[in-house]
Amino acid sequence: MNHTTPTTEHIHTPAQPGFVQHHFTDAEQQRESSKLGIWIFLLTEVLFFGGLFCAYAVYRAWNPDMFHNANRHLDVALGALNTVVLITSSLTMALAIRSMQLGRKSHTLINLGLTLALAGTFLVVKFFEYHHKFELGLLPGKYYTFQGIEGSNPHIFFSVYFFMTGLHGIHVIAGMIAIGWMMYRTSRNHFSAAYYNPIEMTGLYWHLVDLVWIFLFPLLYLIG
Amino acid sequence: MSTTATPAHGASHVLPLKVYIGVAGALLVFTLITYEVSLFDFGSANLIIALAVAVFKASLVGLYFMHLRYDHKMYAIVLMSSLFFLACFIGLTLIDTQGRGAIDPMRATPLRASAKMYQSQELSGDGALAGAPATPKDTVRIDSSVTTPASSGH
Amino acid sequence: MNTLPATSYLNDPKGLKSWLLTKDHKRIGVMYLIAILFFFVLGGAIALIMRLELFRPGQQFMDAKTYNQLFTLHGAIMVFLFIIPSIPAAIGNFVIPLQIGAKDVAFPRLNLASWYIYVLGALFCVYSLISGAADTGWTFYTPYSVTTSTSVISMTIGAFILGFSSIFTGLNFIVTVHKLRAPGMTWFNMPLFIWGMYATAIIQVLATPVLAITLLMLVLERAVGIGIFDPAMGGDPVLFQHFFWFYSHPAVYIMILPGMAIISELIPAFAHKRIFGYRAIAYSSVGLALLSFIVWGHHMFTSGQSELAAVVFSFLTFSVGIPSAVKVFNWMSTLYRGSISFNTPMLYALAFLFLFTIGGLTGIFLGALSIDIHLHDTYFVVAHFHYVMMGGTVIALLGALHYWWPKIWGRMYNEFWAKISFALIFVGFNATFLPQFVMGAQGMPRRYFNYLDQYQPYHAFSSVGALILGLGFLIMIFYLTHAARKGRPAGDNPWGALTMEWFTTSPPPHHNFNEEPKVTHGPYDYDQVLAPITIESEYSRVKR
Repeated sequence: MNHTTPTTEHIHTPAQPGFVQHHFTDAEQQRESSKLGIWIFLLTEVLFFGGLFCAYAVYRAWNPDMFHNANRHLDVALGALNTVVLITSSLTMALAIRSMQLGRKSHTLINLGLTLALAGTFLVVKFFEYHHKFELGLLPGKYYTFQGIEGSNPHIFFSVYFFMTGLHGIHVIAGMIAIGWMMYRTSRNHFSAAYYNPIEMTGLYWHLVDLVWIFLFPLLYLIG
Repeated sequence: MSTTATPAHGASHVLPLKVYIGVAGALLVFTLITYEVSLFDFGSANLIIALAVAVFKASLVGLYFMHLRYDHKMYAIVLMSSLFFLACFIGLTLIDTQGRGAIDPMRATPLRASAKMYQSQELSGDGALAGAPATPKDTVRIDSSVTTPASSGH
Repeated sequence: MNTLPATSYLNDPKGLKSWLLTKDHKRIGVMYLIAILFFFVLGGAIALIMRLELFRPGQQFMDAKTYNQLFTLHGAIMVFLFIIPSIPAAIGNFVIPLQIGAKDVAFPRLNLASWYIYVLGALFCVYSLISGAADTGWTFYTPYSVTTSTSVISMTIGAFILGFSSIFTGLNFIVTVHKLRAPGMTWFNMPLFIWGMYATAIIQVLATPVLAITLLMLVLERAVGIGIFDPAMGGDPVLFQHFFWFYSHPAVYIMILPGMAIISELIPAFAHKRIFGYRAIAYSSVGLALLSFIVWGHHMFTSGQSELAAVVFSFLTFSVGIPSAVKVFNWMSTLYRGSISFNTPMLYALAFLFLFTIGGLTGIFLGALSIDIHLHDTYFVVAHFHYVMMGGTVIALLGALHYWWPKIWGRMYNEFWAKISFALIFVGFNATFLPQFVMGAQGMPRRYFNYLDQYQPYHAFSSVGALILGLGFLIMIFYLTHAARKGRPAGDNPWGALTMEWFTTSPPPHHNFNEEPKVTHGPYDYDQVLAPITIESEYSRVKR
């Protein structure tokens, strides 16, 4: 997609202070480049998680009954709670961007803060889930010791479960760091209604984290 | 600078608050639906129903929260292509894993006790690992006649 | 008489810190160039040592385990540290913004991060080299890679980190090509080098994440025993191969597409003729990138995958040869009735046509399921991939180095020594690898430390060829480094080419263009535009 007439002078007009980097011709080119860049990064994340979804598909197709039996030991209520938490955090994230589109710094900070708090809640719930499993011996791979699940190799389900939710959890933590940094920069007036690219990019990343969970929840917690 | 700048062409317009709230509400409703549906058994349709709801919820997040509905088509193309290639990966891999032994049936044999990778582990009488299942029912699709190691190994 | 510009990106700004913290794509490209050439020499030295050991059957001066470690290192260094980053990160970084008339890539800071991530990954790989190098082969197949006591984890972590460098470079290039083209440079007005790098970048971002998750799985399998690839725990070792090759097959197109992109520049420039079939080459670049994702199972015909999967993959593999063939025919048609100057870059381009055709055709042989059953894991495969990777990509890279060396340093190399080096490399390469096709077809397995006497003449011939090849590269190191520091100033456009990088100074200024770049002609308008050649050489006067 080609662009309009470039300006040769350095961008420093009163309406657009120097947030436009020097190799871009104007703010719009910078914004569109950032958005395309983050979407491509999301593409890589889809493929990254996708590998695990493939492993899930292969092993579930091979062990349908075992997956069904093992799944009964997951706490669906906690999984559903976490789903609600993440959906709400996506809402607050989207509202944070909307607030900055309207130039409302304090609303942006509140919404970002809520997103952060909800993300933390997600991790706390996950901690309790994991802890419960560790106590019962429902562990991945060679550490699995629980005796009550029928079907061969029940540890496979838990290897897949811990790997997928663990990797997702790491992405939640990374998202929290990014959101925290956005809060810091917002409080320091780095952003305005004219420039909020980084918050938008953080938001898109955060929505992807939510999207992955939207698929993890039924596949891991709601097996039949 | 906190004045509302005039959006340049291409900058997303500000969605009304009720669109966001509405989408969030729909997402929560469908989460409830997917949970309720999981309590019933539709056989092999279970997976399809669960995935269909997940896809619908994901579409809502993508179209509205991620602004795909209002943005350049390019971003949607980027997302769709990632899903397409992921589907190729899973699909072609499943053609292998689900089709093993279809033409040339495979025979399972007890594990070879002398194999180097099992040196440090104990093997029981029939060659099975301690703690491992005696007959791998749910794993690789095999011919029902389990022959002794001397014959067709695999 | 040309003089170098007083200031250029090389000396403006000055100082080590300005290089270490640079956001200038040209400087980052140069740093990558030095690194990949270093690793090429390291990987090549390992290959020479291997070939000396293989001169005769039986042990010569190393034991079998060391041999296994050497071929693993040779493969891993050449694939991950040299060839995958080579043309994109070194040449692409330097040339792409210049060719599209931009000031830099879309994300210069990300570009610098890519560089440092590469360095970090390289350090992990070097560490594994000295701490009990892996002996699994660069493909890390399970179950051996899970059970071997050599340091697989550090090598896989190194490759994992290097993958991110590749992803960020690809991401940067895609956005750069979409958003930063100069006004007037539409998609079908861009040089085909850009199309090739764009297609490569698509593969980089789609495929490399799957490698990342694969390596992560392998590390966890080794460290924690999750059992995903262990048959005793209900896992499947062949699943590792699916995961590995889903990346690694497209990866070989990350290797060859940039090479093809270079050839699309060299041939019109030195035939002084418009490229034949611009759109066909552009579309076939992207088509090749996309098709490369659905053929990976042809590496697994003997792995135990289902018969149906094998047949499907074999069928799909035949399709992937079509775009490559389209390109070869278009390049040859460009040569027809061109006014050809046999400068070194053109010699490399012509060598590419010959060597890549051999490599590509033998790939089609291997894609046929029934034949591959016999040729899999033999030297036939080794010869095939060396013909495409070395006879293809490395030859194209050498052509690119000679083509753009005057732009990068402002100074011209010595054409006489360049031709000597080319002759040695061409003869040495064929002497090394042509016998390997024959002995592979006769059954010589790959990755074997010892072999039957009947193969010894082929191995000996191949080893001598490798020495000739090494000599050719040694000469090249000398005259290229001499040229960079003391060569004749080349002027803006020593070749009379028409892409935009030739319309700024050599070396370019920090900000690429002293005046705003305007697109006044297409990249291959040799029938309409005559660009003055800025250096006297035997090829300066072009017959039309």
